Amino acid sequence: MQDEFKVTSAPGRGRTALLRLHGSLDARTAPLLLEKSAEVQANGQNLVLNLAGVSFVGSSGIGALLILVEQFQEQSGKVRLAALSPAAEAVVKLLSLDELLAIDRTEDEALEALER
Amino acid sequence: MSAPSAVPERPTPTAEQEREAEDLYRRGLAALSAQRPDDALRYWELAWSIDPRHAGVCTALEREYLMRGMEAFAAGRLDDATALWQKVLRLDPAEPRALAYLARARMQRDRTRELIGKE
Amino acid sequence: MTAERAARRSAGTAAAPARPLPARAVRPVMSLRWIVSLAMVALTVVVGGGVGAIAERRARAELTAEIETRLRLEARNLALTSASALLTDYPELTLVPLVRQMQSRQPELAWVVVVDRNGVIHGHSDVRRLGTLYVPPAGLELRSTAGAAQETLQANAGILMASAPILHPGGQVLGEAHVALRRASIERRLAGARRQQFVALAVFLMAGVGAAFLLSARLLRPLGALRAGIERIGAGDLDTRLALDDRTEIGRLAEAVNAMASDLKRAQAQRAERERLAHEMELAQRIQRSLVAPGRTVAGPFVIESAQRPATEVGGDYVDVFELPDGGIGLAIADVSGKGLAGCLVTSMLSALLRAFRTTHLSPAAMLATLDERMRELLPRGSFVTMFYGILEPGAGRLRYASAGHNPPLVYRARQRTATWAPAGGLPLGASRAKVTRVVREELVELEPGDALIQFTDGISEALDRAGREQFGLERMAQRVCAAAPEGAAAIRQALDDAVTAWRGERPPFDDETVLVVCREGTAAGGGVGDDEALSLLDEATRRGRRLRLPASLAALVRIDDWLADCPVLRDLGGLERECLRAALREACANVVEHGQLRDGEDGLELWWLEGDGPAGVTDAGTDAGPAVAPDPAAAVARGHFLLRDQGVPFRPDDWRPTDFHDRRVWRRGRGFGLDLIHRAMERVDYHPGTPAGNLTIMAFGRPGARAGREEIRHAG
Repeated sequence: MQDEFKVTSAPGRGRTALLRLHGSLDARTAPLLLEKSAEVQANGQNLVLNLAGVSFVGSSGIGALLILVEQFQEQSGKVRLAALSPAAEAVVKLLSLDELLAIDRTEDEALEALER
Repeated sequence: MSAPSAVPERPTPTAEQEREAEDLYRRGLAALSAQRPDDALRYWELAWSIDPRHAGVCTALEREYLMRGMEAFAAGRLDDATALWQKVLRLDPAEPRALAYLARARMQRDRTRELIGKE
Repeated sequence: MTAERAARRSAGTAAAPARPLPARAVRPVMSLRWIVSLAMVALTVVVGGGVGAIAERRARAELTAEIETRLRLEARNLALTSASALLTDYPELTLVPLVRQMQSRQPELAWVVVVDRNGVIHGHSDVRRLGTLYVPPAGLELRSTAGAAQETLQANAGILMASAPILHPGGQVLGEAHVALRRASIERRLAGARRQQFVALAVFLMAGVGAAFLLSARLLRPLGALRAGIERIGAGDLDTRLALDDRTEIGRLAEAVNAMASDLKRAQAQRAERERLAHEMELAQRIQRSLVAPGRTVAGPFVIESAQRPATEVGGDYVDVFELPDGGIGLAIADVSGKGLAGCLVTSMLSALLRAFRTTHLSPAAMLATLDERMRELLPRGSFVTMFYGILEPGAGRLRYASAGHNPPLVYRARQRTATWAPAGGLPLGASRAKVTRVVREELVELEPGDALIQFTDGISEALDRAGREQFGLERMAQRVCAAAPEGAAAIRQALDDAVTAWRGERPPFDDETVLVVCREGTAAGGGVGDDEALSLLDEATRRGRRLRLPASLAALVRIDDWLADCPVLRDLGGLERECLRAALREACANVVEHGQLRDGEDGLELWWLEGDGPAGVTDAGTDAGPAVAPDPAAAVARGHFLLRDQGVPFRPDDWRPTDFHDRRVWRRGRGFGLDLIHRAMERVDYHPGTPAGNLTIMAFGRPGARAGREEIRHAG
């Protein structure tokens, strides 16, 4: 079942923006994620990505995530992933990226972590 | 220089001679001012020989002799001085200066003979 | 050539005879004598001239004063004498001779005149002036008056005139007497004195010049000796001493030159000593290099390469490869703690002992134990040797080794394309006084085709970078080895050499860089799946496997999810595991779709799941990159093969290397993780493009048994 990929903005906290992802993050949809994240990117701005609704993460999806973490870092922002869906979790762990990415169980935890 | 001969025997000079004497007299003056006293003397002696009565010539000659005599006297040549001054007396026997000079010369000669014992 | 003779030869030309001086262009030199003399002349002239001028002025003044005084006296006397004469009738009779006498006695008088109070001349040396009026000469200036008697002294440019009044005994003025002197006469007298002065000056000048000449000649004579001495020293005769008996600065200069000569001599001796030491060092290095020859040995499929870059200081690294009686190959590498000749001696001891015992001690542990015993006596106190000794059995593909405190060896596994550190330990030789046999453990390494074992000394791992701060390190070593290993022993050796050289930059190596590479050449084909096996797998899959047909489109790949849910055994996998499989399979298919240039609709892919081991001969290989997911205990033995077939353009991602996610550049690129997904999820992946049945990709999936705990390090190539 292929969900329609969408990225929705949700109210963040302080200097942190919040984006919720839905659907399949693959070669076709990865650029959309990057577009959306570029919109909320600003100097010193942080980002929380809620991946609860992500049904599939392909290599392009991983690529997009890594790129956007790097981009935010260049502008002194931090990115945290929250509420990973099983698909997201599987791929992240498969590539051992759980050691390199900031991951929280819930959105709130991620937002709190960035507030500090 | 030939000593002029005694005066009285001479005839009176002619006018021409007077003129000549005058001319010579002037030449003598000129020579004297030209620092040629010997020429002057000669001129005047010649003038006197022509016209012994020329007053200027006589005066000039007297002066000349007196001076030359004084020179000789100062140089210690008493005899020369005496001779020269006696020439003055021939021109004018009563010339007081010449007389005084001669007397002095004589006295000096006597004195010298007295002190040193020679002439 | 004996060492002594060599040392002497390198000690320089201290004892050599003075060589003839090369002809040097002689600059025209101004002799000091001339300078001094000229100076003297100038000085004398100046001084003499100055003094003379001053003296003359004084003389003139004094002379003038004297003459003035005399003139005045004469005027006064004349006046006194004229007083009585003027009272006579004819004063000129007294005065003229008097005046005439005065004048004749002093010819320098310009005139003498006696005048009465009316200005009439009564006494004058020129009788013609008698009786005329006295006219004083022009330009007379009064110079002085004296006395109440109004005696005056006047002068103009040409004459000096003293006048005195002629006084009547009663005090009245009767007239005046003037005596005038020509000034030229004074000048004449002074001129005469000046001429005398000049002559004297000239005489003294010459005398002075002569004296100066002689004096300077005498003072400067030592300079000649000095120069000769310096030239001798310059020619190499450092033993002569200048013996100048001179107490002036020149003598001190001579002493300084002597000091310089002895300093030079000492410096020369020191340099000779240094050269001798350097020569010794060079000798030691040469000996050492002769003991350690780089080389390449081939034994069956095994290629052994050894190489060493000695540091500029003579180190004591040792590496050796030699044949053993039963076809085995002995491999030795050692690091001696001492340097210089001492280290070199230890190395040669080691070499000798090894060669002596190699045929009898066929156990590496035993060899090290014996070496330890022997070396303990011979090693100087405080120095020790770390050593690795191995015996390779080329036929069996096995390497037994033991280590005495040396670095652990690096073992590269071709199939996993990773390198790991094999165990090593033990104490260095000579480190402990106790017998160490127990502590030396023997290890075994099996080398398969493509595998390699690398030993080295810490000159490699501890090489400092350009800035001298960071070490090359074991990680980098392993990376380089992994990258070069597929190309064999020489490539590994070269890669390490290049890497360390580049790391160091311009810095010279501080320690010997020694490396020993043992490589079983060949591709890691054995144990994998060959084309024939692939085809028979395909056969079996067609018969009993689970198939999925896919059109050649990325969008269609989502069908894999449902298909997986249907596959036997796989459907029992845990959620995360299944997600991993899903991701991996979709990637594999996506690759084929993209690279195989399949035309949508017409061509397609086929994906099979074949449960079980597959055809005989397929052994369980190690994981490419084991998943970090904990295995589901219920599905502990889920294994089988996925087969992927397409008829598109054959391709083979041969040059894939595992991505190093620690490198942030990789993140920025954001691409190329597909193969990582596949390789991590699967045990192994084999590509068989262009088989009769099409392009095949075989992915072995399964869970290995628990591994016997050697530490593994995953390295990106």
